[in-house]
Amino acid sequence: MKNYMTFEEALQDPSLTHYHEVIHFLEENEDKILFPKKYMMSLKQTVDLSLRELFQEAPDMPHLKVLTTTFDGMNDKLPPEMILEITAYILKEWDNLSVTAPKIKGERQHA
Amino acid sequence: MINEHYRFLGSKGHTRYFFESVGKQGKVMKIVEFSLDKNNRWNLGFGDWHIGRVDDTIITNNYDVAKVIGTVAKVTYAFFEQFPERIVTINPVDEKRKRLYNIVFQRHYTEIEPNFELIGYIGKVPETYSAEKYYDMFDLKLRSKP
Repeated sequence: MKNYMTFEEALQDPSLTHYHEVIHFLEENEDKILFPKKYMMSLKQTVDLSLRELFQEAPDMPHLKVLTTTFDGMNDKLPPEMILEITAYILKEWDNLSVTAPKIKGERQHA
Repeated sequence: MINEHYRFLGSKGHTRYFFESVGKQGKVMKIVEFSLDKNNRWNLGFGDWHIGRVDDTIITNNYDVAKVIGTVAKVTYAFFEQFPERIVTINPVDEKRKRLYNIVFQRHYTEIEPNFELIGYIGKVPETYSAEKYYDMFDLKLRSKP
């Protein structure tokens, strides 16, 4: 059982009219990410984890496939500017992993 | 355990919450948002609301940090009650907040640990949380009950 009041309950309560403005703001911006800077940092970290796993499985995967695989399961409400930023980030990080691959392969051969 | 917290309100979808901080700077509305990253990883966003806009970089200095953090913890519990399979990621936006979150987890790890799996990141590398170390970000996951 929840131990807090819902927005709907607060909107019905005349003693809580001072909360109505923020509730309306949150409802009107339901599809927006409210803290984009923090969100992008977190998304990049999540992408890093995905890319490392993917690279271990298929280091020769072509860029287009890397993008479609990494975007799979991602938030479909991302605004265009975030999609652009995260696309550039994925490609850059994938290329960085590819640059370090010979070293990793060399370590494996010596192991 | 959480000693004090504010009363909070939650959206129908259980991803947005807010509460009112009351301190030396007066009343400040605080918003907590859980946003999907990918699959079951959700980012915890937290900041102030000022007449039609939000800000996650402002330092309010309302002298109620413990109560605010206690409320965010309560909100996170509420989120996990609805979605026990989800992972919550916590990314400090600046050094001051990073220090604060490290202190909070160090002080409360013994209370958190029985119910939650806490992962700390040093740079991009994840590891099981250790209270002796200083982390850049955190993942929080509800432990599965036997």
